[in-house]
Amino acid sequence: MSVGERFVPVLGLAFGALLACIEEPPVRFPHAVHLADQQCQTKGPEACLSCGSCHQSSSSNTREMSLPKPELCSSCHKDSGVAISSQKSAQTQFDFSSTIRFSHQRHLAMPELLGQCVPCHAGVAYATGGASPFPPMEKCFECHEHKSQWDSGRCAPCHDRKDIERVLPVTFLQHDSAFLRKHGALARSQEKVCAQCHTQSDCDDCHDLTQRLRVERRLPEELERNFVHRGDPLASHSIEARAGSASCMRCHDTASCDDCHLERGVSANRRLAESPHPPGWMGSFAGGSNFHGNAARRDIVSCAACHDQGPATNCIECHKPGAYGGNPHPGGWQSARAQDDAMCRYCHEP
Amino acid sequence: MSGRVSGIARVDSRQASQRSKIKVRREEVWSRVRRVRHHAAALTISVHARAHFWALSVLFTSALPARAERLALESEGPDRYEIRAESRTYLELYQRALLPGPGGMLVVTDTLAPIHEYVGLRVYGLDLPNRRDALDVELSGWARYDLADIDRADRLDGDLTSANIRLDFDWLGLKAGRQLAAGGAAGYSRFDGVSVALELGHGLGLQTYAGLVVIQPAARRRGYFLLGSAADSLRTNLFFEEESRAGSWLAGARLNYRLGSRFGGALAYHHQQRGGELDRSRLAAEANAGLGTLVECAGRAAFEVDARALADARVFCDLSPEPSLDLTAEALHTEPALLLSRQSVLGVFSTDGFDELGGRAVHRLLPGLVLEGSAYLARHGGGELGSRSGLSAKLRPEGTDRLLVSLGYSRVIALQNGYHALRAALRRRLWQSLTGTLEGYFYSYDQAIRGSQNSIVCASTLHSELGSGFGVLLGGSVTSSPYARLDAQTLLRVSYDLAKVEK
Repeated sequence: MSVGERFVPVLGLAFGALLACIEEPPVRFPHAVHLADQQCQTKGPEACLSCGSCHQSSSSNTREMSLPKPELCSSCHKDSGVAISSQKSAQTQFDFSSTIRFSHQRHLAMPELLGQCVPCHAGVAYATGGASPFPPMEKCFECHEHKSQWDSGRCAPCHDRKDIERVLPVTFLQHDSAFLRKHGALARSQEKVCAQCHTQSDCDDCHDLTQRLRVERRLPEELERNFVHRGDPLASHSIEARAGSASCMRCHDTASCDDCHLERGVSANRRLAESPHPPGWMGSFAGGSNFHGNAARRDIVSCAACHDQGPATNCIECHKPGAYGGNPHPGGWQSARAQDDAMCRYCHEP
Repeated sequence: MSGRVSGIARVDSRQASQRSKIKVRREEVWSRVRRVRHHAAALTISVHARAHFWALSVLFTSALPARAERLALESEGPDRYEIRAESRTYLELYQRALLPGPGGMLVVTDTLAPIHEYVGLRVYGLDLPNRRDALDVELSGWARYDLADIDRADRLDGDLTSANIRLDFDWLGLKAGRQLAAGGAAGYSRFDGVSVALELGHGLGLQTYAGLVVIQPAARRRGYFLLGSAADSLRTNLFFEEESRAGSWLAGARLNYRLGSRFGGALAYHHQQRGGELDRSRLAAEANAGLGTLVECAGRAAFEVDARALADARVFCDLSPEPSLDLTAEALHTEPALLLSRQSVLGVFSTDGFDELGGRAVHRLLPGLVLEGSAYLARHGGGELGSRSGLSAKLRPEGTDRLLVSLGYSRVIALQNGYHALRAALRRRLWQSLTGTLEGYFYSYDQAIRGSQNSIVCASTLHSELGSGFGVLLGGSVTSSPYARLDAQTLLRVSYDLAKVEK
C-alpha cells in the first residue's frame, strides 16, 4: 500500500471526527424581548427599556457603550445573573469597536441624530444571529465628511493604522476567496485606499522575484494565504508552467527562469548540460510527435526558460534566413520595428 | 534564525498658530482670489486666454469653500503623524548539491549560511505648511550576506526595493522616487521616476508615470545565481556582462472610471525600453460591472502594440445566489509568445494560442466549515487538452481561529506530464500565546521525474507571542523529492512589534 493510499483514509477519518465537533454559533442577545415585547406602561415592577437603559457611557470609551456591565442584568434577573453574563461574553467575537476611533457622545449630540441609536443600529433589535450588530462602514458614509474622507482614501481619521492592518475589510474591498483574482485591478483603481494598510513591501512579498527568500519560507505559519509556490515547487513547477504559462509571466520573465536553470545545469547555455528532450526532438531523425517544432508552437515560454540568451539563442542557428530550419514567424506576422532593429539583426544580417 | 522588529510612533502636537491660520483661511482665500482677478484684468491678454483663466478660477474657487470647510473640521483635534519601522532578520543553514551537474563533473556539496535582512521605514501624514497629512515617505530594502565559506566572488547582495515620497492634494497625488508600476499593461515594473495621479471628477481618474527602469539584481549580472567558478562551463560570457541602465526607461498612463463600487473601466498604455531597444509596448483595457451583491462581471485584455495582436484576454463573473455560496466562471485566451519581452528571439516565433475555461465554487456549508472546488479545462494549440482542478475543505470546529483543519486535493494535467497532490494542514492554539501548525504535501506524478514518481513534504511551526511585543517562531521541514532524497531545513524567527506598545 503506497503512502498516498495510507494517507487518504486516515485523513478522512480525522476530518470526519472533527466535523462532529463543530460548535453551534452563540445566540444573539434577545433585544426584541427587552425592547418591544415588554409589558411596560402598566402597573407593576417592569419599566420600559430603551437602548440607553443598558448601554450607558460615562466617557468616550466605545467599549463601555457596546457591552453593558453584568450588574445591569442582575438588577432585573436577580436569580440568573451569572448565566446571563456568561452568554453575553460569547458574543464578544463580533466586537470591532476597539478598532475605531469613535465617540458615541459626540455623535448622539449631533442634530441629525437627536440622541437616537436606531439611525445607525437599525435591525439590531430583531437580529437573531449571524452578522455583527455593528453598523457597516457604508452607514458612516451617509455623513458627508466621512464620504469625502473615503473618496480621498483617508482612513486614519477614524482608524488607527496599526489596528486596520489587523482587520480584514468586510463591506468594501472584501478580502474574500475571489479577492486574490481581483486585487490587482482594485489596487490600480483605488491605490489610496489600499495604501492605508498596505505598502509596496506587501506587494513585493508575493510579486517581487528578486527577493532571495520566497514568502512561503518567510511566513511558514500562514496556512490560509494562497501562496503560489507551496509544497514542492522545484519538482512541480515545470508541470504547472506548461499548464498555464500566463500566470507565471505575471511575476517571472525568462531571464529569471534561465538563471536558475543555468545554476542547475539544464540551461542551453551550459556546456554538457543534461538535455530533458526526448528522442526525435531535433536533428537528422527529428519528426513525429516528439518534434521540437510542435512543442514550441504549443508552449514557447517553456522553450524560452532555457533557450533565451539574446544573440546566443541557439534557435537562431537553424532558423535564420538561408538556414534549413525555415521561417519561424507566424503567417501574417508584422512588427512596427524595422529590420535594422538590434533584435532583428540577430537573424536578419544587414 | 530570523528577527523582526516593527514599531509605530505617533506624534501628537498642538500647533495653535497653525490652527488659527486655518480658521481665518476661508476669508484669506476669498480676498486673495479677488486680488488675483483684479491684477489679471489689468494685463493685456487675448480673449481666449482670459476666458480660460476665468474658467479655471471659477473651478478653483468653487472647490476652495469645501476645502476650507474640511480643513476647519480637521483643525479640531491634534496634529498627528505615524512612523513605522520594520526589521526582519533570517538566518538559514543548509547544504546543497546542484544536480544534475555537467556530465562527468563531480557534484560538490556546498554549505550555505546566508543571512537575510529586510528593512522598512514609513512615515504617514506629515504636514506641509499649507496642508495637513499631505506627505508620506516610504523606504524599504533587503540585503543578504553569505556567512559560510563558499567559492563566490561577492557574498554581499541587496536591493533597494522602494524609496519614495508621496504628496497628496485631494485631487492631485504625486509620488517621486523608486516605486512600482504594477498590473494591467505594466506587469510588475519597478522604476526610479515620477508618477502623477489626478482625480478629474465624476468618477474619472488619470495616472501617469515615467522613469528609469530598475534593473533586477538577477539581470544586472546574468549568471547571478551561479555558485562557484562556473565560467568555463558556459557557452558564452554574455552572462557576466553587467546590464547598463542607459536606455532603459518606461512610461505609461492609465485612465479609469468608477461609478460607485460596482461599475468601472480603465484604459492603460505602457511602454518600456531596455538598453535602447523596445522591451514592451502594451495597451490594456479593463471593465467591471456589478448588480448589487448578486452578480459582478469583469474582463481585461492586453494588446501587444509591436506585434499588433491580442496577447491576453479574460472574462469572469462572480455570483452569490445566496450568502453562503460564491460561484465564479472564467474564460481566458492567451498568446504566450506575446508575453515575452520584445527583445526575446522566441517572442517572434510562430505559436498557437492557449484557451482556458472553468469555474470555482466556495460554499460555507456550516458556520465552521468551508468547502471549495475548482475546475479548469485548457486547450493548447493543436487541440491538445489539459486541466487543473481541486477540492478543499477548511474546518474550524470551535467556530474561532483556535483550531483550523484544512484538507485539499488537486489534479493538474499538462503537456507531457501531470500530478495528483494532497495537502493537509492543521493549526492549533496550544496555550494562550502558543500556536502550532502542521502541514503535509504528497505529490504523485504521471510521468516519473528523474526516476522518482513522488514527492513528500512535511513542515511544522511553533509560534509564541511572548508579550511586550516579542514573538518567537520555530519551524522545520523535511522533503523527499526527485531532486533530493532528503532535504531538511529549520527556521528560527524572533520578532518584536512596537505597535503593540502604546505611547
